[in-house]
Amino acid sequence: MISNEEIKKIAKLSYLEIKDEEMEEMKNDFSSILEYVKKLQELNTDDIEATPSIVKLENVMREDIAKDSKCNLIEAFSKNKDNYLEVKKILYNEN
Amino acid sequence: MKIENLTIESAHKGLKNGDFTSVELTNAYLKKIEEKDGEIKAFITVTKDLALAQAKEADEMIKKGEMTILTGIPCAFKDNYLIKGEKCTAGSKFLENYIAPYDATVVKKLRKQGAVFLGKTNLDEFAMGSSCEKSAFFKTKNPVDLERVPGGSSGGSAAAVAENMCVYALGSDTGGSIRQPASFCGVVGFKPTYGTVSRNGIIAFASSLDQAGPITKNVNDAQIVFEAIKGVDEYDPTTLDYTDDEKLSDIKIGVPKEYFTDGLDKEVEKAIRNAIDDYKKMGAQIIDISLPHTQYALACYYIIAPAEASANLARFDGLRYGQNIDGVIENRTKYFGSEVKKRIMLGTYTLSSGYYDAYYKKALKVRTLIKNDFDEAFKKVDVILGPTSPCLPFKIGEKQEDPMAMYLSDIYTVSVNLSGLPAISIPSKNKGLPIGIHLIGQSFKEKTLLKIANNYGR
Repeated sequence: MISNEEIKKIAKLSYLEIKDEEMEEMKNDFSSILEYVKKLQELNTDDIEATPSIVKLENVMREDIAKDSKCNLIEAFSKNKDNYLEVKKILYNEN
Repeated sequence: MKIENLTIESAHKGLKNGDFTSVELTNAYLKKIEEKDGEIKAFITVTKDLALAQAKEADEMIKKGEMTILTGIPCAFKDNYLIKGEKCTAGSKFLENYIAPYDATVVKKLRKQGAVFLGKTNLDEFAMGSSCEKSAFFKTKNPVDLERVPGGSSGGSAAAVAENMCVYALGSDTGGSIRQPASFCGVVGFKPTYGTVSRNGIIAFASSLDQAGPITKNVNDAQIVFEAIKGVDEYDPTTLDYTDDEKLSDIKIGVPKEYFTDGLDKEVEKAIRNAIDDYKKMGAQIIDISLPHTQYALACYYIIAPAEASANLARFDGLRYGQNIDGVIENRTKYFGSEVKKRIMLGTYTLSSGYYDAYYKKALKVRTLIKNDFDEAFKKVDVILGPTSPCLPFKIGEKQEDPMAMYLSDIYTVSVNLSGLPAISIPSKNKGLPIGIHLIGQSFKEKTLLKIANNYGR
């Protein structure tokens, strides 16, 4: 069974917080899924290549020119200032 | 007017002959939604104003002789497709008030043809689920039996088509989310080959698996919608150009022995065996095949899909869109549902240092083995036939407790997404609760697949 500390650590990495009352269910579900997917360890895959995507992905290059700028993504911003996304300050001068 | 048995083809004929206008047709569907959707709850949003405006334009197009087969025909979209100016929630509280700033490519293509958009249908939150019970808003009911789930995640779309609240609907399929609800509601659900239809403007779940496709009354309609929405799109680099030369002299249908094992409901098995006999009577050659890694597909999927989801859903910080209560962790904690949190965390876990090789990389290698099984099989057969779901449509609440029980209902569909193949679920001829026949085709050979699917029941 996965521990409370591990769940808390994964939650932090996921930008989530797991409340005490959610902990048991999360632990149980997590453990039963991890137990199930262990099945894959039965297979020897030493010489097998990985398939991250079915379609061969290649870089698609284009000129760095704005297109479709009429499409107004800014309206969805929770806060905007002069058409920039406004967020909390994340860099501080400690002094 | 009677809309109960309308298909795209018959509605098109009616519009063309002037039996009814698109406005009349649209009003008939809006009325049906008003009468029935209080009970079924297929729609999150009904876009009445948009639909009527589009219907008027469609009638103009028809008058001017500019009509295509989809002009003036009312459809619905799963609520993870962006329609400019309309709400798009993805079934999540996080996007409860989000207004889409642009059209998805599929939406744009249908809009251009003069299609009429009736509304946005319910789904499991961010398409993560197999029953529509994980929608943050409400549970959709199966029109065939109101005590049962419509399947998921495109359950709202399947229920809307089954209840005649639209002529056809669009869904998305990451691990079976078009085919399983189609199977549960007794309609047709088609997931095309990965790379044929643009995913631009459809809210991403697991990008190497997600594919858009139609839910329809019959196979012919599925083909019509597919032809309309496919094609290379500069906004989706996975879309590609290809030719599909249909070849059909003698049909060879493969039946994998691994699909008929312990977990399969007896009634479902009987219906599928009957379908195999029907195909045999029609002159198809039935060939026993083996897909030896079938039993590993679900485990492989439940590593890869959450891993990709954890990366895709990182964009939901509440700053650029969605709910904001001042704080990224606070926003995500408050507005994501428990299933979504669980999958983000699973993905984060399997991608994290120390676990990456054992889980994620291992799963990508097993994915190769699963795909190789199909490649081998398709050297001998044209399509592969089996059940869409191992079980009958289950009761609302029945599989809430154990997450694995719910996940197991996707056991036959996930391997198709892992391999990028096209597949369709069509209703079997059994009496009682709907059972879907699952036909899997070769990559980019949708014509052959759809033709074989269309032969059934003729």
